[in-house]
Amino acid sequence: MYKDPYLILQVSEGASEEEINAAYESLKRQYTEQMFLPGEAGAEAARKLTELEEAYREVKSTLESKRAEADYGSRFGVIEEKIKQNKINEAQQMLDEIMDRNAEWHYLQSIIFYKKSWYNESKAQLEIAASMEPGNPKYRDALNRLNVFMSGQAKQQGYRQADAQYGPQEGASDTSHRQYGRGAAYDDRQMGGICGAPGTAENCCLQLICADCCCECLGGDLILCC
Amino acid sequence: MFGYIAPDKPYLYIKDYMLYKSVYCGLCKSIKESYGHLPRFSTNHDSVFLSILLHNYLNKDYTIQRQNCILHPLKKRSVAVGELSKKVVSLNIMLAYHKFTDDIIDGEGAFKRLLRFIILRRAYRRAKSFMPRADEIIAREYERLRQLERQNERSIDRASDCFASMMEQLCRELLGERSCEDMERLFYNLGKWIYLIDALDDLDKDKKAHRYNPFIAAYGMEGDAESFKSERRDELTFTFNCIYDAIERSFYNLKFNFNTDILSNILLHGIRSRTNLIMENCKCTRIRI
Repeated sequence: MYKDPYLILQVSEGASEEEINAAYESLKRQYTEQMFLPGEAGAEAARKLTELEEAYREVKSTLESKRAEADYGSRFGVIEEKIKQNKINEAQQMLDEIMDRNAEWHYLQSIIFYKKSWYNESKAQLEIAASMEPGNPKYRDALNRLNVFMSGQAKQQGYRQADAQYGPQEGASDTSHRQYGRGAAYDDRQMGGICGAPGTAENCCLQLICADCCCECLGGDLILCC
Repeated sequence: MFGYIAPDKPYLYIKDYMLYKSVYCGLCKSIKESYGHLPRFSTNHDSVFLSILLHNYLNKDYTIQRQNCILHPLKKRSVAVGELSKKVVSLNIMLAYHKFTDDIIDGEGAFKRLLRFIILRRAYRRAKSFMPRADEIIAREYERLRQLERQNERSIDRASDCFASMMEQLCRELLGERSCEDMERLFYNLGKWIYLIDALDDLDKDKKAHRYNPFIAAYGMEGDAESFKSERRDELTFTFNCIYDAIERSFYNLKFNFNTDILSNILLHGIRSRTNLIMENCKCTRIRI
């Protein structure tokens, strides 16, 4: 028959390690003393002592695994913090040290890959995370977002928006338009593009006169006055 | 570099078209000044883009001059002269030299080998002494790439990381303390795009010669490039869309000093249209400006 180990130890389930240890010590002392009582009482105490030992072992191991879990969780927390601070290499190192690789591990690895611009690897890791915990909306949503965003539909829109920057349409208030205006004001800076390159004008006249000569040779006339 | 980064010509303003051409001429002239006539063939569209990007970001303007041109002896041309041109052309010569070296190791034609040794060797030595750290970076990353190729690396991201992080480090080298996270991400993703678009363009060639190609290593290729591209359309679209997105985001975050018409044309249109041309197996992929 299963008995609640906490009941045997006479502590509440949320008790700290010290409380459990203290309860165990005092009960053990009590039962050890009672064990030498004559008759039924001694046998009862001996039985209780074995029970106590078992319960103590069980509670201890639960405590340990809980602590490990908390440790593990906080390690992921630290890694997430590192990623946020953009310390990608440190985060990757910490992640590499963790041997037990659950869905969260793959999720974090995916974020690191994304930050490193390794998009295919990032997607692969996210897919692993989503398949390990299909019920977890965090992984599923992230994967969906990535897929939809990069599938081309959203991008097509972005492309058109980028298009809108070209051409001085009304309402296009972004910087590139403003800068276009600056270029159009014929300032002497070349990065605005070349509007009138030095020497273009006389070149143009020369060519026109030349063309006129050719025309006249063939009987036509390009420039009527000469 | 390979000359893949170029503007989308139909969307280019005439003023920018003129400027682009003059920058091209300016770089070619700058090679003549620093390295003599022979390496002038190495001028390419990538270096024009790099020059415009750096001049704009570092607030250095071009001055336009009318100069003669070897290829067009009858007419004077507008030539854009900029302070950073020497850095850009030196970098370009080193990149070209290392690319040829890599081709030779991969076992490509004897013609290129001859070209490299005769023409680029002297220029490369001079460029190397001008920017020794940049050369170290390029040599190191090419070596890493060759190692991954020997292992037949199956991850596209890992294979392209060499070239991409080479660009990232070169960005730091070129900009020094003006380098920032967004610029580095832009360079990283541009490098990644250059590497991958080159691989996509060379699918058939690489398969025939049994050379390493990241796409073939990742997905395997049974038939020809055309069927591969249609079979793997989703994966390829995803890969390239992610790169566009990163480029776009970092580009919008950057602060420039002059207008960004050319840069946005190249980064938002040029790269896409180039990828689309290659995805659609268009034969006319040579760019003429």
